[in-house]
Amino acid sequence: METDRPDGRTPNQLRPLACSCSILHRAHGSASWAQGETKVLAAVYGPKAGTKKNENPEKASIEVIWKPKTGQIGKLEKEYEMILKRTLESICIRTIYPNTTTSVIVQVVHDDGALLPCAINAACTALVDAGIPLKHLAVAICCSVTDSGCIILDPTKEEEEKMKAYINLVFPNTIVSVLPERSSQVGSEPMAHGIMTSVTQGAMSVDDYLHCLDRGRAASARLSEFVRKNIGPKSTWLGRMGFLCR
Amino acid sequence: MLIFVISAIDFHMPPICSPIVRPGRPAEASPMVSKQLSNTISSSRMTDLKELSLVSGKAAWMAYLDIYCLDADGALFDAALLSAIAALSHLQIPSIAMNDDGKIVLVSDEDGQKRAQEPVNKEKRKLTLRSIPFSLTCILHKNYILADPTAEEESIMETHVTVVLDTSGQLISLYKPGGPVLAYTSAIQDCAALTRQRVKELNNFLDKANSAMEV
Repeated sequence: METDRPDGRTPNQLRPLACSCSILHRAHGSASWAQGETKVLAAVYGPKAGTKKNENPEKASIEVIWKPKTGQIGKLEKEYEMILKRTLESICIRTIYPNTTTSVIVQVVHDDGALLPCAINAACTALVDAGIPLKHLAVAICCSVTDSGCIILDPTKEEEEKMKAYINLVFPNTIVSVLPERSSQVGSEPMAHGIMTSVTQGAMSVDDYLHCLDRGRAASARLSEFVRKNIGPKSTWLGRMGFLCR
Repeated sequence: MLIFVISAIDFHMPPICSPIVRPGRPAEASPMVSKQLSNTISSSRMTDLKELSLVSGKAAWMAYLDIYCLDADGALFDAALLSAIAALSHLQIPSIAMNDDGKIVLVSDEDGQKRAQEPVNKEKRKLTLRSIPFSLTCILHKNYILADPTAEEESIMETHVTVVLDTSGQLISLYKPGGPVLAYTSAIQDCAALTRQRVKELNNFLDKANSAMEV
């Protein structure tokens, strides 16, 4: 292998994923998402009546509250909130519930690197659990570039500090459809190859960025499969059974 | 040292600059632009932080960078980054001496006696900037790319992409916070090409402005 990672992973290997839905009772939707030691809890309330100031009442608006594990909210948390808000706005169908507000609360349980992608995955899963109408899901991944130009996926906190640069990328979920393949294409590229969100830290060449895109797309396909398994008719069926038992 | 420089960058939006901003509460865009600026300046490493050191382990310069927006009409980050770079390239560090008590004293030219102190910085000098980052914000809409949008254009279309390149061609930042339009590889490459062109233009402009100010 090109690079030996401290935890024994190959450069393209993700940390073990864990996902749970419906873990909070008062929330309309909730999800816990863990990638290795990084863990985020997301709760969704809404749609609630009314729209805040500076928001468009003709559409449903989304409010994101980011709670760090320790300390108070600073500029970093404000930036994360805005990125999450814009990402979730772009996957929700906002014309169905005008003049409503949906609150998404993100609580950081532990941060061991690649925190923002973990939070985005948790929030999308929680929106599904709450029954908010979505165009498609979003899958988030973190790629990093070493000083020697090697690309590593899903870095830990320890690896992040040694990296020259890293990128947080969000792609749409891959589409599994019975319709002809033409429907999921946009121009000459499949829809899952489009970038919804990109946030970089550190300097790199444009070629390195494009290489990270390719690696990120391959990893997001695997993440899409994982999400599809965990959010399926199974949880709906279990929910219905629970309802009947009451 | 690095923490000092990062935490001292602030972007202010007073109510004079936009009808959206109300007095008291900070504007929604302010922390976003501040964080992006800190990110960009620390990522590009355009200043050598050792230059700010006076006495190793004891005294160092701390730079405060405050940017006030007077008129907000779109692409705020581009304007903020350009003004930050122009200000840093205009920064002059005064000459400093350390007296017998170990205190740092400003050396003035008139006072002949203070010149007897041991000088730490012998003369006024400018900050050395290495690779300078420049940014370009574009709006994506279907198959179109709209560069340098106004506030009205920004409010109508929701997908913004900000590309930051430095003068050596390195990608400092590619910032796309959501938005309904997906960015494919061809769009990214087009935005990077537009930004490269703008880096050349702005670098020439900055050189001319600094040359004119030296006279």
